[in-house]
Amino acid sequence: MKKFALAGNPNSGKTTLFNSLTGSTAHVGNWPGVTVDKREGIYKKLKEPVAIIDLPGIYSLSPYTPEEVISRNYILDEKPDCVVNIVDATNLERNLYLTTQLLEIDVPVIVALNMIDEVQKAGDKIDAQKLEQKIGVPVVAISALKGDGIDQLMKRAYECSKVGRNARTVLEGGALSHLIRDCRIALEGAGVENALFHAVKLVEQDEIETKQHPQAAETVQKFKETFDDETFGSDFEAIVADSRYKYISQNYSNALIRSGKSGKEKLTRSDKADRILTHRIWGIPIFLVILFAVFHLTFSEDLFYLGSMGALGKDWVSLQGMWGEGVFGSAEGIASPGVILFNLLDCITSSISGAISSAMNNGGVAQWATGLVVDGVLGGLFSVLSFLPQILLLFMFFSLLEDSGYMARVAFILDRLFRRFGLSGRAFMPMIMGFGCSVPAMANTRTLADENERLATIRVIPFFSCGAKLPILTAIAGGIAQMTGTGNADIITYSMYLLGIIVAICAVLLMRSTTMRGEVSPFIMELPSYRIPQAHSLVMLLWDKMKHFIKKAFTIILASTILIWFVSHFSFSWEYLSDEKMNESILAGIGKLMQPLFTPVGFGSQLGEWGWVFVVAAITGLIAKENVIATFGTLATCITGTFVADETLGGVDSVAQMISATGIGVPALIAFIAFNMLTIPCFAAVATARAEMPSKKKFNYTLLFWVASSYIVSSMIYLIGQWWWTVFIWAGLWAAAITVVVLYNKGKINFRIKKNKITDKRS
Amino acid sequence: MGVPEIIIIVSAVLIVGGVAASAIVRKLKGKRGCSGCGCAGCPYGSSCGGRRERKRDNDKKQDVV
Repeated sequence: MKKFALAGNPNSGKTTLFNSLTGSTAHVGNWPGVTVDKREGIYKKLKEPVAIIDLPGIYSLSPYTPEEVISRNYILDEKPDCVVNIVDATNLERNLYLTTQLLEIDVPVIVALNMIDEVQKAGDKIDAQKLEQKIGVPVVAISALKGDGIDQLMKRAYECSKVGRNARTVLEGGALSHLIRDCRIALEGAGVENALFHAVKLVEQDEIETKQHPQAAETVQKFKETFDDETFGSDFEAIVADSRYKYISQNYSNALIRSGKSGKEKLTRSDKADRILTHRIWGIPIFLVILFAVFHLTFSEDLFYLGSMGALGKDWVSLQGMWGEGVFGSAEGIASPGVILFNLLDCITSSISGAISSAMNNGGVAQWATGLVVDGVLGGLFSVLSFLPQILLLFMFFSLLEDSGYMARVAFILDRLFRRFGLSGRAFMPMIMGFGCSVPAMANTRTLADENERLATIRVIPFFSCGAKLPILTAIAGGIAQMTGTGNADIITYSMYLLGIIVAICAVLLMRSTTMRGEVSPFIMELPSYRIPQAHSLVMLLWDKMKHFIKKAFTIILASTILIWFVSHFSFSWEYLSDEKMNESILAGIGKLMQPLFTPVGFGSQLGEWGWVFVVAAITGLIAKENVIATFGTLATCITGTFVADETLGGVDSVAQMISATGIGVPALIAFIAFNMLTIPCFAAVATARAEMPSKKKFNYTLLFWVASSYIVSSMIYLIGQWWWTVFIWAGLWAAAITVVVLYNKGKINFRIKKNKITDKRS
Repeated sequence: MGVPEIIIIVSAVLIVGGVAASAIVRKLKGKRGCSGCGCAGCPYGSSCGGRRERKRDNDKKQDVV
């Protein structure tokens, strides 16, 4: 099967084209660096099926970050039958820089002028035919988003792949052309493939090439000692780059015919919006307000605080006396869209549970079997599934912000702040991805060039609460709102998200000023134009999320609820226990054994006989974070019956009732959220962290770091919330820790063992 | 113990056993544990399928030999 590789600058639309060609649903985003690993798909509309390989974006073939290495190595080593070079037509000159490098490889190349619709919209024109004659390879104007010109592109790419192509360079006739020719001859003599490409890279003194071809590198070095350019001295890399841009400007740029508007007229909507959204003072507050609006629309039970302001009647309840009473709100306030969807699903799942329970009771099924199905399986499963609409809504908002191009701006405005803590703004993108799932977020850190910066970012990514942790936050926040009589679960949820961010920043600061010191890499990011998010890609993303969530719910979570029910209803002597006797179960025994460990964080021995529920929930959460609420859901219906008269409660209501009934306080509940949010993430995230870490030792330290951070932060929250004066003790402890760090950095403290002295004593 | 109870027990055992077995098979095949965040956002999404493709290619080559 023929292989066509999609190569181009970051954010030039490679993945959009890949999805369009292969029918895939790979994630696209309006910021550079979304794709960090190659993807494969098949295009079937040609005479024979063709494999399409979507490569991470690259600005040049001199890689700096791990994902850029993937692209370069693929093109050089895997020898695709054709390289489809995606060029952002709105930024022609810069994108053609990579094209000039691709031309130096013995591989068929075709240029796809993407986003041609945007060029036309701006009133400009690109003469594709003229460009084709100048470059010497086929040029096809396309719009990957609209699907225009794609079939023609593939047909021409297929024709190209049959012919083959010999490498040539635009550096011919330049100051270094003799040196390039000499290196090429030497490499060809040594049997090196793609000799011209390697020769140019050697002249650029590319680190990889210099190591691979030391003899030719020596020739370059000798020539360099005798060479002196008026502008660039003997900086060959700069001379080559300058020559390429000059060639592009002289030969290719005239294919672009501008509409002739003046600079002021040309100020785009994106530029105007950026004047406000990336403002050096208002940029961060605007981001925080947008973030709060997202949380308010997803979690608030009092939309726009109308209930708190007394705009609604005291007895107002939506759909009073009907099925779904209170779904749209009550006297507390009008429900936000997220809460409405949550309430609707909760009504449906409660009705299903009720119907199955009645059917089983009427059918004379044994009580334990009804308990297993209704309380165990459905209780656990439905309490997790109820959160699906809110998770999808939150993803939708984040996706809208990302696809519009706003998130790239946030990375830019946060760069100044992040830089003070030892990170660049680029690290913000994987962190934001962490709100969705830690697995792709950890992989996205490959775009960070500095090893220590990358390691620090991987470690703090789980602090950015992922979708799986959302049910924990929402259910506990709901419990707190119920206990305190406030309807502001959104503020609690928002605050917990912010807590995660703050802890992440503090942790990075600590790491970058002690064990992971180093220069913060410069942050250069091309700000994409604001775009209206595409409904199709948004729907596909949400569909993909929903599919996986449901799949997970009916596999691992379902199996977990069965196991949890089993170990919570059988004693160590294999005797079946009724709901009232669950305290004697295997699960209770294990939970009680571990309970003292959690006393400093508020949900240990101080909670009495039912405190073990929180401990086992936190432990089951290590498999998958949804298990925390699934465990609550499974146990809640059984436990609630022993506390409260209303045994008919189901789903999340029973969880909230159980939380209130255990006697746990608000500080301990917040500490519980913090613990689950900051501790070791799920198995999949742990496996990804292991794969992305440079050594096992660093991975082990990372596990220790997660346990320590969660334990310290949650115990701080609990102790300060319970006894306010402990704030002084914590302040003292932190002051001492900071002093030690400062002294260590100044070299006044040295923790390293002086090996020489020990050796001396032995001798 | 009636028929419904037996069905419930067998189903429960099959679900737990099936999930555990599939996790072990995935591990043996060298695939990563999926956290359920979705293949679209997952950079390893293609390697899950890709690995199968490569295996098939190898099988074909062996057949030819």
